[in-house]
Amino acid sequence: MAPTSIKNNIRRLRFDTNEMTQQALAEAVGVTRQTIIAIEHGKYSPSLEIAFRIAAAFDVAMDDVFIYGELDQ
Amino acid sequence: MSTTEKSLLASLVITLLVFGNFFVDTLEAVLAGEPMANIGTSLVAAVISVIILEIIVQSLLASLSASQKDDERDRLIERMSFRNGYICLSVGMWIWIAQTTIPTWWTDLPSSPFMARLAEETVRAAAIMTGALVPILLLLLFVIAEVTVTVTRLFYYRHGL
Repeated sequence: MAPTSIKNNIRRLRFDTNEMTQQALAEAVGVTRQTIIAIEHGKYSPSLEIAFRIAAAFDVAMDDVFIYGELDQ
Repeated sequence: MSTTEKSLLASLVITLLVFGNFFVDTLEAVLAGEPMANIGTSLVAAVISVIILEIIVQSLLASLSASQKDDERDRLIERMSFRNGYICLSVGMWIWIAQTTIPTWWTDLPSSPFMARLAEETVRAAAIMTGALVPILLLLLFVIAEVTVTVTRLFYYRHGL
């Protein structure tokens, strides 16, 4: 299945936030670790609510986390 | 592989093994003209086997891994997979309806050697689909739909939505 066209910076943001683990992010957001993995790899586009919660977990704006279209990662 | 995927894979293997064995044995028995009572007993045995195996395997998997709550992705995957299972069931039902009604249309059509042969074959196929085979094929359709749900759930978990 083709990856979603919504790119994200979650991996980099996790690294910048004291190397936050996927499990810690999952717990902060209220989803499973598998969902965080799927979002990171572009295999799942989260709902707006989860997207806002991810941005809040990193204390950044949503467009710092998610970008629609091409992005060099 | 996540706990959910392991659980789905276990369910798939159990369903395929138990019901696969049941359908092979049953179709042979029906075609050999065995009484329906024996087939009913086999069906009850198959259903009980699936329940017992599922309880054992799922309990084992639950004890080996941490409990995990469902989230929006799990619910979306479940909904999409049930839709696929429903499509599979609907297609099967329509094929069945066509299979049981079309032979009567063939026989009403103007005769030619080709049409006569076609009518003969379809009536013969429809005759096999009646009687003892009807509940078994109906059950087979439900099992195929269930397998479709499990396989597509596994696919979405592995390859994304």
